[in-house]
Amino acid sequence: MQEKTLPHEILESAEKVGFDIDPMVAPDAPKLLLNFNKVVAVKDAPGLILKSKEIDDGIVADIIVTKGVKIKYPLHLCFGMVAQTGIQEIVARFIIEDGAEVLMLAHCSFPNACDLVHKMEAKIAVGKGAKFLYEERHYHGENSGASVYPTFEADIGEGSYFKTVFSLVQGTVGKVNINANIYAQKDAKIEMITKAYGKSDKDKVMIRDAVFLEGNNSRGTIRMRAAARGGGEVFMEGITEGNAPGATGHVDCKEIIQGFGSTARATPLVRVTDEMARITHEAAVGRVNQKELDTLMARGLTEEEAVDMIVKGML
Amino acid sequence: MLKVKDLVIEPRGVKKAVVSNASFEVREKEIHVILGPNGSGKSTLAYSVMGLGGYKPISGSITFMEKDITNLSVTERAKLGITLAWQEPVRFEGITVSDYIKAGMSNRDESAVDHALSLVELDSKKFKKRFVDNSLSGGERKRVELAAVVAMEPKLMILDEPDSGLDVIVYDELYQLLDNIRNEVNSSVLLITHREESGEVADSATLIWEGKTILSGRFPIVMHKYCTMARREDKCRKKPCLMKY
Ligand SMILES: Nc1ncnc2c1ncn2[C@@H]1O[C@H](COP(=O)(O)OP(=O)(O)OP(=O)(O)O)[C@@H](O)[C@H]1O
Ligand SMILES: [Mg+2]
Repeated sequence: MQEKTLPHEILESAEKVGFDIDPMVAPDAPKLLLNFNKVVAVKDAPGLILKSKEIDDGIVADIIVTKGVKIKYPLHLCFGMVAQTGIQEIVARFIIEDGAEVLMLAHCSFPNACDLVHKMEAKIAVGKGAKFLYEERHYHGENSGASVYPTFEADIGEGSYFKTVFSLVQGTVGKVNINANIYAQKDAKIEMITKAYGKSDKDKVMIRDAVFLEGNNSRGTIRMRAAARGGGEVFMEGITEGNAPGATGHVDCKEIIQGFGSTARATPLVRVTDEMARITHEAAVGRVNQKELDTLMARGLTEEEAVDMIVKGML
Repeated sequence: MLKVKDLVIEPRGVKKAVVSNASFEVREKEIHVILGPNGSGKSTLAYSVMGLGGYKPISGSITFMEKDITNLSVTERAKLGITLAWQEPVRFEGITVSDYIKAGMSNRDESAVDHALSLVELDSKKFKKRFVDNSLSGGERKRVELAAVVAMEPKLMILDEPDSGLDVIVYDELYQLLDNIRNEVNSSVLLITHREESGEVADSATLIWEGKTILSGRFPIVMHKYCTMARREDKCRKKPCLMKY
């Protein structure tokens, strides 16, 4: 196993997005850390299998938690690249077997991106009665120079719980286009949280999160939060389909526009094909709620400080 | 310290004056109660004194500590030491009780947050890290609001029905608490309420009726006038508020 060190810029940006790096670099901590197409650190654990293959412009990886194993410490993943330009391609399979439990903290870092493309194709298979928590935080540097195109396909088995949190709120965005499809089997529970912040006219975010409630009594909630300022564009689409008796879902989109020239669009889309299913949705797009602003200004904050505090809270 | 004179307020989007003639005065370190029936314009008056955008007076003046503040913004008034606790405080996403209280404090000191929470009888260990969102009960949210206002150590606290939505047993305690607070932070209180028990601590009062201030003076006299106008004299005779306060 090759032990190279992770470039310090990647560690710094992990801290920037709020991850604690000490447990990440600890020698015993389970991890799979990449820079471009090189695995710079890998550490498995009993019941946790990490297999990867370096290809020309990225890697192919299998991440497997075997049947009934509960991984005690979070698995740290880093899909990063310190170069300014280039194309990185990641193909990853996540297999969480029956009754397994794991928390993964993924960190996608492109701190110097000027003209950089990152593509990721993730396939997620979660067995029965398993629990999979996946949190992915992005940092794309300060130049709006990254183009990031991840796709996720996930199948969540009977009685399993799957929660994902995606956030891109520090630094710039560049171009982001995310496409996620999650299928829930009987009694499965899905929670998707997505947060993005576009800060200039070079920042364009397009996120489509879809949950398909295919099994009886499956449940899904999608929560999308975004802010756009300085000409940024944020489009979010939260889709939930209820295709089985007892399926219940909720889509909740909230986007805040700051200043002129920015665009935000939130589309909750619900489709129900079973008369015993029920999906609800809510969406709010526009400026910050006036009463929230007034309240903070009555404590002495300026309008700008108040907007900032409200947006930070929401993201 | 606060002088409101001939104030006329047409809230944004409303065609008629909701407050058509309001004048009253709050003196230093006193608790001044605003009485009046539902819809008489009490909250509107409070928003206008605070300086909220939708409630700019179309005529009249507001003076605070000898300074004309009629045209100052909310932030400017808050910096002068005026703040408001809303009748129905708004909920925020992702802002903790602790950060919310600190937002208005100049020193942002942790122990001051604990102290403010203890004043409103919320266990700071339990509540500091909670969010000021829908997960707080109505009464808890109102207590947090009061704590945030107190933590600012303002010169004038405008409290819009801080007693509504609190459990019955705490009314008396609440008024006592307001009394303690004004002594502790040396602030004046403009207290909007429907409850005659507030007379226990009130120094003076103003009655507002259909957008007009009718009478200012000692609390029992104003309360009596309120009862007369509301045709509640019979009730009042049974509970002789004039003699009580
Ligand atoms: N923005 C507005 N749009 C329409 N009507 C308004 C607006 N603001 C106030 N009003 C009306 O003005 C009147 C006074 O309202 P205000 O909230 O000031 O009453 P209040 O004395 O505080 O009543 P309460 O005791 O019920 O709290 C009410 O009839 C109310 O419906
Ligand atoms: Mg009111």
